[in-house]
Amino acid sequence: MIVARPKSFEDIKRYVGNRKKVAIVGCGGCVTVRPVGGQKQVQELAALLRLWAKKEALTRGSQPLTIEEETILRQCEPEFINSLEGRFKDCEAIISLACGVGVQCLADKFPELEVFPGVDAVFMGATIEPGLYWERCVGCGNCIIGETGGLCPVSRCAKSLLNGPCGGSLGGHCEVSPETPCVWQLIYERMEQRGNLGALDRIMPIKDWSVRPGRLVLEHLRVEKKES
Amino acid sequence: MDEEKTAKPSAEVQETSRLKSGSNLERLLKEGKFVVTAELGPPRGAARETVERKANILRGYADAFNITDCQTSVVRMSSIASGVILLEMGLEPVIQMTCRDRNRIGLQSDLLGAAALGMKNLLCLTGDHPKFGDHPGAKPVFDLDSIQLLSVVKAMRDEKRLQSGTKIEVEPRFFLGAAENPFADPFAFRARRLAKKIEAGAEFIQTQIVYNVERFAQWMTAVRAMGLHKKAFILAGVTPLKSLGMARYMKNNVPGLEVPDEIIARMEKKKSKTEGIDICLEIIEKLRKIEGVAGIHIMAVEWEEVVPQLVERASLLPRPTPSISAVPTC
Amino acid sequence: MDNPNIIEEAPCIAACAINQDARDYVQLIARGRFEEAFQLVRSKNPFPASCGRICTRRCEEACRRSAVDEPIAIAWLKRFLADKDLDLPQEKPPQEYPEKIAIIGAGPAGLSAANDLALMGYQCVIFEELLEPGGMLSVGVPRYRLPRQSLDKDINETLSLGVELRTGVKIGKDLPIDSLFQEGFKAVFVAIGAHRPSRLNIPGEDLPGVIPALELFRKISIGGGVKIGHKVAIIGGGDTALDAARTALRIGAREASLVYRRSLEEMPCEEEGRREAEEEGIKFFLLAAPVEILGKNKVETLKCIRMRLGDPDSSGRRRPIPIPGSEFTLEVDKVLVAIGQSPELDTFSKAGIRITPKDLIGVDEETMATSRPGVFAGGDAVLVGGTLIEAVAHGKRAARAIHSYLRGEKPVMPQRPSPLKDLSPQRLSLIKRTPRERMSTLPVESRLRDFGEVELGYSDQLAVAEARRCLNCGAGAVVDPELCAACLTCVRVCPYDVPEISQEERVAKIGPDCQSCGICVVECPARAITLKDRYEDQGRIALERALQTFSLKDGRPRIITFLCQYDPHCAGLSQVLDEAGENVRAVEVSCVGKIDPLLILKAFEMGVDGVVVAACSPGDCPFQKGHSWAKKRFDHLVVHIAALGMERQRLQWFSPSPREQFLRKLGGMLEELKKLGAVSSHN
Ligand SMILES: Cc1cc2nc3c(=O)[nH]c(=O)nc-3n(C[C@H](O)[C@H](O)[C@H](O)COP(=O)(O)OP(=O)(O)OC[C@H]3O[C@@H](n4cnc5c(N)ncnc54)[C@H](O)[C@@H]3O)c2cc1C
Ligand code: SF4
Ligand code: SF4
Ligand code: SF4
Repeated sequence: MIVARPKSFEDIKRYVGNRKKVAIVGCGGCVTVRPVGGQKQVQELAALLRLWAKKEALTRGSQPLTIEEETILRQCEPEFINSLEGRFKDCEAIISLACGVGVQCLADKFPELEVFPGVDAVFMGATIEPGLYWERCVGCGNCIIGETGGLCPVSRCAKSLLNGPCGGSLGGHCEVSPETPCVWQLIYERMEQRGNLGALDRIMPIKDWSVRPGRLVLEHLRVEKKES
Repeated sequence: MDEEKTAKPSAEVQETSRLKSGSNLERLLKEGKFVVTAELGPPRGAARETVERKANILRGYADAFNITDCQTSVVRMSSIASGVILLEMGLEPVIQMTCRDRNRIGLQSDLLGAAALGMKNLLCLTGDHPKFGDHPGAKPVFDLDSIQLLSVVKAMRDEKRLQSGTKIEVEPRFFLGAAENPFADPFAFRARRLAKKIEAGAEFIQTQIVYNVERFAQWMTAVRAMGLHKKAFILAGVTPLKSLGMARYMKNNVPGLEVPDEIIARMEKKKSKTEGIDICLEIIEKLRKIEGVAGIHIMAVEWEEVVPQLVERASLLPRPTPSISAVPTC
Repeated sequence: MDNPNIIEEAPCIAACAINQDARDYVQLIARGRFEEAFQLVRSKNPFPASCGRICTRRCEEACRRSAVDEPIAIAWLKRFLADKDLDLPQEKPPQEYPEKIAIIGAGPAGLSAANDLALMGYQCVIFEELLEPGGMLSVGVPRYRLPRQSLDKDINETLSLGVELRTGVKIGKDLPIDSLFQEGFKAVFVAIGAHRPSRLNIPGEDLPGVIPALELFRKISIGGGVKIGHKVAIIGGGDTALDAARTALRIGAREASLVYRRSLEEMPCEEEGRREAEEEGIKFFLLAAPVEILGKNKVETLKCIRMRLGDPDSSGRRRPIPIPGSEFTLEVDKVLVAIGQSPELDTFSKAGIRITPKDLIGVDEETMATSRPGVFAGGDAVLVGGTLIEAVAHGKRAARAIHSYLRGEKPVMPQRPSPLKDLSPQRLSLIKRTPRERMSTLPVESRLRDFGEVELGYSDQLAVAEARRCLNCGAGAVVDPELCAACLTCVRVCPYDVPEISQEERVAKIGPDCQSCGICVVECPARAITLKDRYEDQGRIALERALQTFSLKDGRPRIITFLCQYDPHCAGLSQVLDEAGENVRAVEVSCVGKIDPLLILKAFEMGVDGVVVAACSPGDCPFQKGHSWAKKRFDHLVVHIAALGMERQRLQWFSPSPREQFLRKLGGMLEELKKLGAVSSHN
């Protein structure tokens, strides 16, 4: 899932500025599960902003701040986004607590409104333990994990090395930080455990980095739009 | 750190007959000479004079001169440009090229240019992570890794084709080198990984700085067991310690560098530059005796002045190196 | 009870004959909401003062807390409420229906039926043979267990509803049952109890000095003097026998010996009563049965035989078998027989009401209807060894059934909820052990002087502390499956490992072992979890109330102090703060782990100038982790508060102990806030 972290309140304050009414829209998907953008966070951010507006009443030109709070099931799906049709009429801006995907979908739906990101999506990753997440995939479009013992060096090696660890691998850690495990150490150990170290002697071919922006068509999932 | 380098005489010399690049370094190694290379760090600025000053200090004390490629991810004058200055001064450069800052297009383009400018020795490196340098927010490229870079250059040279498969008329003729860190982990994988580099095209290897000779010898045993010392020339890296502070810094802050406690203790006792030089000489002495070491690579970072006395006291003079002229390799 | 969210009930509720809302009133007591608690009790039970004292406490037997340490003292808590003399007068209900109903017997069964029927709007007349109402509670149960004024309190509540009581009228003797119908009563409830003592059927039983225990009680209750002699033997092993023995000591006997056929374990009596009897010096001759009573003109010797226990009989207890040749004698002046009693049924069998082979009135167990239309019966008259609460239950059922009968409807009887299963063993070690709060008892010396009540009751503080032990079974957290995102947060944060997400269900499920700590409720990012407990709102209402009292005055600054109700150091602090002046208001929460940061923000939004959280020390948290969650959230909130530009001093975490220090810090905060002024920059 996508892992995100809340933006600093400084940024959010800047987004809201002197506006009188804004909406905060949460997403029930990844950011609810990795809890930074669900209903709870929508409510909390709204409360904080109202309080801030109260505190800054003078500097904001005595503008009271009204906030519409909403959380939809997933901000990256047109059907759910469409359920917001007609909403936020008198809002001047929207703060989305979804990942960048959701923010953009929301912005497409409300092109006349300013839409701001309330969180920073940082990566696609796993929960290692509650509150600790690590990146596990970059969506490179060309998965090689089958040859690296089920561990992804593209996302988990600081240099995305494909042919073994660099000279900075020490004591199982990556040179970039002692908290970062060296994925090549892990790959080596797993291959050793499997008795398949020989597989690592093969020179991994140069990777075909996919074209961005990615576009994916799954023909079997397409639904013909009815012509009206 | 990935900048691995150094040298010492390798016993067996094969294939002297056909030189790939015609470089002095390649020739000497293939003749079985115990070679000395030295590192020259380009300046953080456009001062040609700095390169010239350092080159003048080093002149005559080594057979080829490594020019680092923005070492530790700090922006410095480019390796190829500095190499041109050396060529113009009649010294032979070893161009270092990392995968950190250029994708496959940039790498190939620069290397074609380097060859055209007369560069003959190329050390292919992965490169340090930008996090360590003066631009920690830089987007690292790492489109290729060092092994892939070796294979790309080898194919350009031997098969006259670019990575894309496109044929080229005139190939760059490089003597290909790679670095290796015998002290990094997983230790058992280090020799195997060297084999991959050699298979990819490395003909000479410069290692990480050796302080722990025992551990290095262990690694060499593994290297010899795989016969790798017969497939590539191994130059052991050395660096004289300037001070106790430097020793400690090296021990604690440079990933993949092992400084044994006894060396720290010796530096603590004497607290002098001469002690650092003495230690380095002792290390060189021991390295020369290890089978398969074809030379040494001296990395006296920002202390180029020490190189002459080090080479002299190690009885590695005179260097059998004639002055060369700036003639393109192709 | 009656919470639509709850399907399986707390075992305490399920075990009770009237399904008294034990958990709910205990939870209300835990929150100091005594009036609501008492109203809840009384809404189901017209005998709170009596039940709080002498009930057989099926609820406590079933209490899930027993597996952790000891059951909740549910009955004592009820007694506590009843004894508080809360001024909660019931309104006399208007008459809704024309039909009059006759009730025979003013014991708990009769009175309960009258109570409920009166509340429905029927006119009821109770006919009672004796001069006082109360039945066995009045003439059986001794005063030291159930003081007259407590019983009267219960009875008067019912009578105040407009129920008419005609004492000194014995139906069958003074008034035939059929005449009731002729007089215009449309239905009759027979609640005559069981007042005919069972006989021993041994030689010498009719000697002077051999008297049924019931007679002794009755004499004492109507104030007649009784000569008891020095040495008294009591035959029987139930509560009545114990009561007889203890009564004997109180009216002058020097020695009271209880003779019982089986062993201690089989005694059909309350544990407490037995312990107290032992304390008072009563001798127990167990596994012994009387075979003959000897004496010239009056009782002199009681001859007994030793018994051993054989195989279990139909009651499940092991059958006592005499050991030949093991006879022994006791020198006695009086023999009190307390081996049971049965109803006097002649009048009723003559009136065409079916009598069972066990000499009880035959009834439909659901509706209490007898074989004669319009006649219902309940209480000891239909049960062997009945109890107070069963009599109440029968009365209540009969009231419903009579209503349906009169309205010509099919009777709808209350559902009996099924109990939750026991706490799972792996949970036990996670629940903090806290022993039961003891109630003080009268010292033995002064007990025996008169009929003063032995158990002295709880203070407010003890009652609250005891109530807080309740695990709130079945009323814990519940997940709205529509909102749950299966994020696992609840699974991860629960200190008791209760929530589960199965691959099949795909949403979180919170089982009956939930301890209502509320941590997951606050943490759930989808806001999918609520506590079923309708008395728990995690401080919301309390905050609103506190804010309202502020708005009456202009005092600035205003500080809201969140207090942990579970922390003994916070006990009484709320009053201290409320009384201290207009600047500080307390908001009590049952564990600071229940405080949602949003609530603190809301307090600021609503205009307070500062917020204090006063929490127990980490090791004291009854939910183990409540404290640490509260602290973590607090620290996080401090960062946010700072980020929005509010002064750090406005949000404080003070330990409530030592109290002087707490009050000093609070005073310091007040001073500082005075300087800072309001949060808002407009006024
Ligand atoms: C000594 C003793 C101790 C007990 N201790 C406990 C205890 O600790 N806990 C507990 O739960 N239970 C206890 N019980 C049992 C409890 O008191 C009874 O189960 C309960 O009182 C039964 O209520 P009832 O209304 O059915 O009958 P009763 O309380 O017996 O009331 C029946 C009433 O009907 C009247 N009556 C009878 N016949 C007629 C008639 N023909 N016309 C008019 N009036 C009539 C009687 O005078 C009496 O007042 C105890 C009983 C005894 C004897
Ligand atoms: S712990 Fe409370 S709710 Fe649970 S059975 Fe005991 S009294 Fe009832
Ligand atoms: S915390 Fe809330 S959303 Fe997450 S699994 Fe539990 S109930 Fe569902
Ligand atoms: S309320 Fe507390 S005990 Fe109950 S499920 Fe939630 S976290 Fe667990």
